[in-house]
Amino acid sequence: MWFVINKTLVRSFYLQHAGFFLFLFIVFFGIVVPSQQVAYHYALIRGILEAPGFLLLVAIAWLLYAGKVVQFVFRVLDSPEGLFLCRMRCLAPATCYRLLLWVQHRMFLPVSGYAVIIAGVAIRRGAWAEAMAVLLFVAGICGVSAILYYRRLRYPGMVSEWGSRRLTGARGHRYVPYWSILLRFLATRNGWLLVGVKVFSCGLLYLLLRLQTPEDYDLRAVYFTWCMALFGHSILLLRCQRLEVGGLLFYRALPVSLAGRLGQYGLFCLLLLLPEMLVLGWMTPNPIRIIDVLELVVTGYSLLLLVNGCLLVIPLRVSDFLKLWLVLLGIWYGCVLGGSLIAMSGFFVAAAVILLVVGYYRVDLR
Amino acid sequence: MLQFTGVEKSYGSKKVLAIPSLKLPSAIYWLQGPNGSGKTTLLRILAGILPFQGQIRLREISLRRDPVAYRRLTGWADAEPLYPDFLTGNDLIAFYSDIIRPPAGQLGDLIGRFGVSSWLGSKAVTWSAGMYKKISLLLAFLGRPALITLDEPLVTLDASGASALFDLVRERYHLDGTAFIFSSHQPGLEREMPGLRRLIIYDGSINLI
Repeated sequence: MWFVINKTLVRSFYLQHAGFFLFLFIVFFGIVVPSQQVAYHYALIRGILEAPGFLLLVAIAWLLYAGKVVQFVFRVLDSPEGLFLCRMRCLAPATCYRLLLWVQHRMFLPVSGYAVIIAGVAIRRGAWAEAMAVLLFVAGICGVSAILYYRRLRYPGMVSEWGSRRLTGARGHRYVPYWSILLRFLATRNGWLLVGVKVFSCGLLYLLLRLQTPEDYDLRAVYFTWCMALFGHSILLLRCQRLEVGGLLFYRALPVSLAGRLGQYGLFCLLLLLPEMLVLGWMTPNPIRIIDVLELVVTGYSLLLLVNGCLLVIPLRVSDFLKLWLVLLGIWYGCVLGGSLIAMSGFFVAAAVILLVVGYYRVDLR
Repeated sequence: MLQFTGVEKSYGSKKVLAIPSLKLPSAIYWLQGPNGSGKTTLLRILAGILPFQGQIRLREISLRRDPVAYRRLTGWADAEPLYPDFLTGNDLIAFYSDIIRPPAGQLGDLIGRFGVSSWLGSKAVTWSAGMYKKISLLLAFLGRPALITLDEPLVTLDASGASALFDLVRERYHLDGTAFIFSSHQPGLEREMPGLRRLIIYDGSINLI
C-alpha cells in the first residue's frame, strides 16, 4: 500500500511539478556562482532569522507551498483515477492519519529540509526560540494538512466554493465567455499556484523597480525576474491546456471563428497579467519610465501568447514544455542583451497567430 | 446531405478509417461496429474535433474550407462527456447559448424533456454519469443543426431520459429533417425508431445497409 500511495501521490506530485521545482532551483541556485552558494544561503538564513518581516514572508511562501500540496492531494482524491484511495478509510483512524502524515512529509520535504537547515543555523547562533518556532511551524503545517486529507477521505465530495463564488459574481449572472472559464479554472483548481505566481511576480517587480534610480537605471535584472515570473504564468497556461483537451474538448466542436478564439485567448492572457500591469502602472513615471513599462508589458504579453499558441497546437509533455521554455529563454536573453525586445515581441505575436491559424484544426487530440 | 470524399484517418502508422466515397441522405443512422473499429473516431471527425485527410461536406459546406459554418450545422455528444467540474449546468447552457443562439423557447423545452431543471444550478462535480449524459445530449440538440452525432447516447441514461431522447430524435427528423448518426451497442433500437438505417463500420471502411 505504501508503494502504491507513494507512486500515486508523492511521485506524481514531483513529476507534475517538475517545472515549478526547476523554477525554484534557478531562483535559489542559479543566480549565484557555485563558489558563493554556501555564503549566500548562510546570509539569506541569517536575514530570515534576524528580520521578522523577512521571516513572515518566508512563512507565507511555505504556506503557499503547503496550499499547493493540499490542492494536489485533494485533486487526486477527487479524481476517478484516485478513487481507489478511499480504501484507506478501512484502516484504523490512527494508522490512516500516520500514513497521510507520511505522504505530507514526503511532499513537504523541500520546505522541511530547508526549515531544518534554518533551525540548525539558529541553534548554532544560540537562537533556540527561533529554531523551535520554525520547526513547530513546519510540523504544524504537516499535521494540519494530514488532518485535511483525513477529512477529505472521510467526507468525499466536499467542494471548495471560494474561487468560483468570487469570480462568478452575483447569482443569476449568465454571461460565460470562454476566458472566464479558464480564469475560474485557475482560481478554483489552481488557486495556490496562481497566488504564488502573482505574489512572486508582483512582489519582485515592485522590489526591483524600487531600487531603480535615475543615476543607476538598468532594467536587465528586472527583465530576468520578469522572465522567471512569465515561466510561472506559462505553468498556469499548461494547466489550462490540460483542461482544454479534457473537460473543454467540446469547445473545438463549437462554431467559433479562429479570430474569435484568438480574441478569447488574447483577453485571457491580458487579464492574467493585469496585477503586474497595475504594479508597473503604479511605479510610473518614477522610478520607471512609461516607455519601459510598455515594453515590459508587451514583451510579457507576447511571450504568453506564443506559449499559449504552442500549447494549443502541439501536444506537449512536461519535458517538451521545458525544452520549449529553454529555447524561448535563450531568445529572450539574446534580445535583452541586444536591445531588440520590441522586434522580438512582434515576432512572438506573429508566431502565435500563425500557429493558431495553421495548426488549431490540425492538432490530433486523441 | 453528408458526403465523404477520400476520407482517411490514421493513428501513427495504423489506418483506422478509409472512406473513398460515400453519400448519405438525411436519415437516422445507427453506427455499428466492434470495439476499436473507429466509431468514436468517425463521430469526432464529423464533429470537427479530430483532423483527417480528405473532404467532408454537409449540405455542400466543407468542414475543411468553412469550419465555422460547418460546425454551425452540427451537434455532438460524446460517449463519456466531460465538463469542468467547477461549472454548473446553467454556466454550460449560457456558454453554448451565447455561441449557438438557440431559437426562443427551445432551451426551456429541452430542459423540460430531459428533466434537468432541478440540478442545473449545481456544479458538475456533484453530478452522476447520467446527469453528465443528459446535459451533453441537451447541448447537442441546441440550435437547428442539420446533423447530430451521438456517441453511445443510451449508456448511463435512465428510462425517462432514453424515452425523451427517442421522442426528440423522431421529432427533429420528421419536422426539421435533421439527420442523426449515433453509435450504440444496445439491441432492439429499431422498435424505438422505425426506419432506422444501419451503418456498419468494420476494418476501417463503412457500409450502408
